[in-house]
Amino acid sequence: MSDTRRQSPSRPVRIDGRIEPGTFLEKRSYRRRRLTDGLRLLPVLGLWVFMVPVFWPEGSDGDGAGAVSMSGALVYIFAAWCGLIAVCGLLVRAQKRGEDKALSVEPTDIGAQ
Amino acid sequence: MAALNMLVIACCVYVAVLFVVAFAAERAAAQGRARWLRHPLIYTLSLSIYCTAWTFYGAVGYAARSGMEYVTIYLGPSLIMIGWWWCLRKLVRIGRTQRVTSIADLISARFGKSNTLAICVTLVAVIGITPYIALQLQSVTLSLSVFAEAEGRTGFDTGASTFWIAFGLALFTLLFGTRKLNANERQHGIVIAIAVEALVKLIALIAVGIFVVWGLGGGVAQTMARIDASEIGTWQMDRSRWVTLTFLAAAAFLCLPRMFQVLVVENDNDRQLAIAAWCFPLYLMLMSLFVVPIAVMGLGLLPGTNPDLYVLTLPLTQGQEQLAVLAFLGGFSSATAMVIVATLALSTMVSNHIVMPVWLSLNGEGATVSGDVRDVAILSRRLSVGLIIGLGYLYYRLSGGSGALAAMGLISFAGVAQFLPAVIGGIFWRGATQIGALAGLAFGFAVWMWALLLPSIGPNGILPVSVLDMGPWGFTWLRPQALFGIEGLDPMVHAVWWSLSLNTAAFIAVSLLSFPRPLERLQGAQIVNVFEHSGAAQSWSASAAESEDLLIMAQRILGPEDARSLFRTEANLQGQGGRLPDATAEFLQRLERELAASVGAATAHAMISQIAGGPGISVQELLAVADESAQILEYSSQLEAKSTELSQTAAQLQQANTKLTQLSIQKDAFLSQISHELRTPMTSIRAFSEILRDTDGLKPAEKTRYGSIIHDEAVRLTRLLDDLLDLSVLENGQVTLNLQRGGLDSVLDRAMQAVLPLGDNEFKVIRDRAAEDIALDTDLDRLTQVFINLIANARKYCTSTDPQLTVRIVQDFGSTHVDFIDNGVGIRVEDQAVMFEKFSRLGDSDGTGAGLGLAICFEIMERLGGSINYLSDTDGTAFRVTLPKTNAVAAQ
Repeated sequence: MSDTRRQSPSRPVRIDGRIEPGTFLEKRSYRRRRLTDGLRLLPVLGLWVFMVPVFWPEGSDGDGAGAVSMSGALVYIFAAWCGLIAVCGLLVRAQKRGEDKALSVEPTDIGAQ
Repeated sequence: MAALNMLVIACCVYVAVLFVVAFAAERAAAQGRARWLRHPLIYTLSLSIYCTAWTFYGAVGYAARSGMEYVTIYLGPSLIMIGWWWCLRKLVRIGRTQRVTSIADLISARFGKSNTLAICVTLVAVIGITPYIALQLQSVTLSLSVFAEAEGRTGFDTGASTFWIAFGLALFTLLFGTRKLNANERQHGIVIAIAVEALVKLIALIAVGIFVVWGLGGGVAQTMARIDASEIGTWQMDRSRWVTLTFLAAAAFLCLPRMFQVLVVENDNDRQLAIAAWCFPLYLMLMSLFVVPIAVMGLGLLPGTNPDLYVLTLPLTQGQEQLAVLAFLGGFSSATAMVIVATLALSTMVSNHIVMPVWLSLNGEGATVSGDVRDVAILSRRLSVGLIIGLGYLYYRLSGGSGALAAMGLISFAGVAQFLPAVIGGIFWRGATQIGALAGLAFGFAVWMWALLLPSIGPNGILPVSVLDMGPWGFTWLRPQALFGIEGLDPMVHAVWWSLSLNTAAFIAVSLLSFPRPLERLQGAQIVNVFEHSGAAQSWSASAAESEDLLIMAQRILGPEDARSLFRTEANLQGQGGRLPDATAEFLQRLERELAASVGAATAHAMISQIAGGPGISVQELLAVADESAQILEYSSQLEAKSTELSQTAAQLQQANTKLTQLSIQKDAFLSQISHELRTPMTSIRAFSEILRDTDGLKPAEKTRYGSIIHDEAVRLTRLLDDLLDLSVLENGQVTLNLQRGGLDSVLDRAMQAVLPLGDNEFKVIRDRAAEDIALDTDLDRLTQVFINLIANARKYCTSTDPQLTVRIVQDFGSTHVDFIDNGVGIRVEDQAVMFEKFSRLGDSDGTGAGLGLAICFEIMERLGGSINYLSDTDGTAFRVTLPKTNAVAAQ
């Protein structure tokens, strides 16, 4: 796949025939890579958001004073869930649009980030 | 009575509709109109088999018992889907390139196509899924009993109805899923049926939710207030369970055989995954949205009843029978979809990794015997379906059908999560080895069995209470629910923690200490670096395989038509027309992939290697194992250069060898000629001398005649030996030239005198004396010898009635040519090529010459620095002697 990558002609070619990734990418490739970074980081954000309830005060002891109410917990978790889904959907859409614009698929899994 | 009958009718209609949909989808796929079947949304909906009856009924019960904890089961998979770029994208790509048929196949393929590992994974999967199947049986039975109670029936036989449900599910699965052999062919019918079921259960659950929130609860705000006022109204959470269960659900989502089937095996392209990455979390979110309101409403309205059934009992007790039937169908959908896909995935594993290898080795006939094994494969799949559902039924009976649905599901999750280290380690870490994976799996499985599965069957089911309390044989640190003396943990957290820790630790430690086989390393490189080189897995040494054997074997597995069309396509690719394709390495690889789609990687590999011998590992592939650094690439180019050099040397050696062989043949021919030539005169000499010796009373005239014959033969023999000697001296370059000065005319004169005695008028010689006045500086005696030979030949072989020889002098470009042209018939074209060879007597000549004359002439002219050749463009026989240049001779 590295062969189909669109590169500026000045990039040096490595021994194995791959094109040496340059230091700077053109703007569009740069955007697309940052989109991929976003996709990668999204589950980390999700994990963080979903682990927040671990630190909520418990209502089991006493009369539950100071504890998070069930409705509050519901709203938090489902809001976070919906937010993640929305962001993920937007990122996937943006990535698809970027891929459609670039004639060839950018193999972001290899090469420079 | 009406309700139960309505239910049975509704179920039958529903199943019939599913069949019609599945059948239509298969037909559409067969006619190539299946583009919409690969739509990402269909893919997303097919993933919904994650939501089984456990979700449908159990989540509400879970929420009623433990508050928000149920949501972890859906948060884990949501995170995995949202993080598809990390793991699923790679899994799916590997699944496509390696044509993986199941999770056992993936693990086996990654660790060197090991069948041992595949068998272990299959066994763990079968045992791990058993509680899950029991859960589905239990949920359908419970939902039926609700309707039975609702209409006031007493004596509803749960045992019998569970049996019939199990039987029905098995039948359903057999009809749906085991008609096709190739597990890797997308099962369009099943996928579309599952997608329909996904919609049914979503709609049913949301319908019940809407009824509860707006119909019973009086709106969102009131429902929220009711939730806060209920017994689960504040946040209560076992923190370790929250974390553990989220992780466990994520792990199970990746490792459950049925999820692997729809996620990886049925996947068609990356686009499906990208869309499902946000659509599937959305589906999960919608499925869990109304769980808490339903649970709270159930707790409030129906205290003391089984909370697992609130989804059914709420509408039923509130007089919404149609909604209850819809809910029942939703639950029925959840259970059937799960059982179909799970048992199909498992039966593929059992058949490919256990039954087929055993059957093939038991039959002991090898891979090349003809006869269809597809029947065996399909039969074994059908039996496996029965076996797996039977095990689920057995577990249900043993556990008494009393456990909470959620607890049973979690036991399964923890069981299949034991694959996680092998899968994740396998696709990201090249150092993972087969023995490591086996060790990890063994540890994890043992701990899971001991700490979770056996205690779950009940206090006195298999493990006696004393073992639970005191440990086996008094080893308290081995107590199933307090391993290593750590007490007070939640049993689930405890089991997951210890099983996965020990599993991962053993996997890593043993991998670090062991050394992988070459095939493992190759597969490791292929799978870990699937995005870089998703090409050939490993190549076969093609020479050993016979195309006929391969065809026979392929026919047994793929069926005659598919196999033939595969071979035809390959033959066309190779440009072989109607013949069988050559067993090239690429073809063997393609064939192995095709076979793997039917019988799994390990079996396919074993079958091919039976025919093709061991897989040849090329230098290039070994380098792929070790690549990563320019050092290796450098080394590779050096190797390449060396290999080119070697092949050049080999070619030179071959040429030299050919030459030597030719020389040896020539030498043999020469020797046999020589002996023949010597023998002929010797025979007559011997014969006539014997006559002279033994015959008395010979007349003097006869004596003279015989004596002269002997003499003539002796002379001929001497001449022959002289010629041979001459030739060998000339050929070896040992000749010493006797350089003299003289005129060409005198040389010709001497030659004429030697051949043509005075007064011979029959043979006319035409000369141009004026042109012959050329000074020569060469070995005149040798030159004379050449001329004598040519003139003597002309005289001897010219067949004309009026024979004549023209000696012509031609000068061009500083060279002097002497042409000897007679008026005979000339030399045949085929003889012209060999006339200067030793012993080449031309045509049907009389046999007096030894055939050495022209060879000697040729050698002499070479030595003198001139040449002799035949002029083929004249009438008659014509030789051209090119005289050596004078200065060239002087230089010698």
